[in-house]
Amino acid sequence: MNETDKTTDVEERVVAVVADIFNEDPTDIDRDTEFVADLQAKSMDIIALLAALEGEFGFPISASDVRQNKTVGEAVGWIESELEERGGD
Amino acid sequence: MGSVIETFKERCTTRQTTLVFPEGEDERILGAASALVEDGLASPVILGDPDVIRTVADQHQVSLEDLEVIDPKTDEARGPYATEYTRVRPVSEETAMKIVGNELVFAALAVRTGDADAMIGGCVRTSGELISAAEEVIGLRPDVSVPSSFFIMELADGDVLFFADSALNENPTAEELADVAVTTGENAATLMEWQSRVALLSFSTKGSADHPDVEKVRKATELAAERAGDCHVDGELQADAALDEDTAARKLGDLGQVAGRANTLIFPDLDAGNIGYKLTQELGGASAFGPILQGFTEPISDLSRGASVEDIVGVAAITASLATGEEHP
Repeated sequence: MNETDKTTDVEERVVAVVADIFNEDPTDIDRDTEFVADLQAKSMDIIALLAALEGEFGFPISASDVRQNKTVGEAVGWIESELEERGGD
Repeated sequence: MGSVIETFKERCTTRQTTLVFPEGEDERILGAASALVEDGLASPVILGDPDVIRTVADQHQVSLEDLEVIDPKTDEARGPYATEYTRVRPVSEETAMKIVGNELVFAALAVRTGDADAMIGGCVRTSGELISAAEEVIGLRPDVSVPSSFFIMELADGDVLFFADSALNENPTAEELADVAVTTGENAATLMEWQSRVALLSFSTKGSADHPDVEKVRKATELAAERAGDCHVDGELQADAALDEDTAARKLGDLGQVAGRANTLIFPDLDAGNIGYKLTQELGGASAFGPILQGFTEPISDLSRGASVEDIVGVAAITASLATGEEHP
């Protein structure tokens, strides 16, 4: 898989998880979607999201890790850098 | 460790509870769990990677004998727990299976399903994460709008008081303060097997001052008194009127059931509550046990990040005592 495919893969997986957690159509979610402003994410949503992303990507994620990424795009970028650092996925 | 904790420990030996610890890979949790088993205080269930747990236990010379170790990422309970989780949040089974692999969510589901009586965590994960997981999966009591917390204050002379909310709610509304008063009164009665005398504190005693903050406490007192059950509730009272009978007599005509002999103090906001309990520790030489969370349908306890093995065992004894206490709405 080349780098572009990997990026798309991570993005697709993040979008799928976010859509499921927030009960949204995946086609309505893009890199600019904001967790709080657009999805009205509350504390309980953050826990569900971090748990689902942990399960999806296989490394521990904290609530502050999630909160520091305001948009889906930022979350994708952060996960990609974590995966690279950990040598995974 | 204070004598009040010894009282709870003795109670634990007669009524066994299953306590789930989501942060099982921490050596303090393992040490505390081992102590709980050795002293017959509870049946701990430890969550984490079994290989990591074995390594940590060996490094710190902790016995894993009679400790139940569960890996949330592989345990057979994941399937049923995932199905149960979809009743909480309508996600796909696939996503639910990922979510229940998280140790806080798995632990909360163990309590929700009755596989465990209570959950204790927060020395690795944050209090916010623990509370959010508990609030979503276990839920608050139907008559309570916010989770809150209390401290058990053991004074230098051995007397015990309950202080709330000194750790969680920054500026509760009158309704939320009433929730704090009612739940603290009930939990104090459960733990101490006494009649709670709950004083809602203020800088005013029964109209001596007039201010929106005083009005909030007055309103909270009315609401709490309506729901108090067997607990006595009164306010608004200054701290000296709540605790000292002579002062109360000078300030009030009729002392009622609380003034001068309160055993449960409800602070109007977090500034007052946090300062209050710390001053009582520092200047009064009191021991403070907690904060103990309350308001959930089942007991959930939060540990400080710096908790020692002894602290964890103490919190476990309190939590187990709450778990075996009377049921509430």
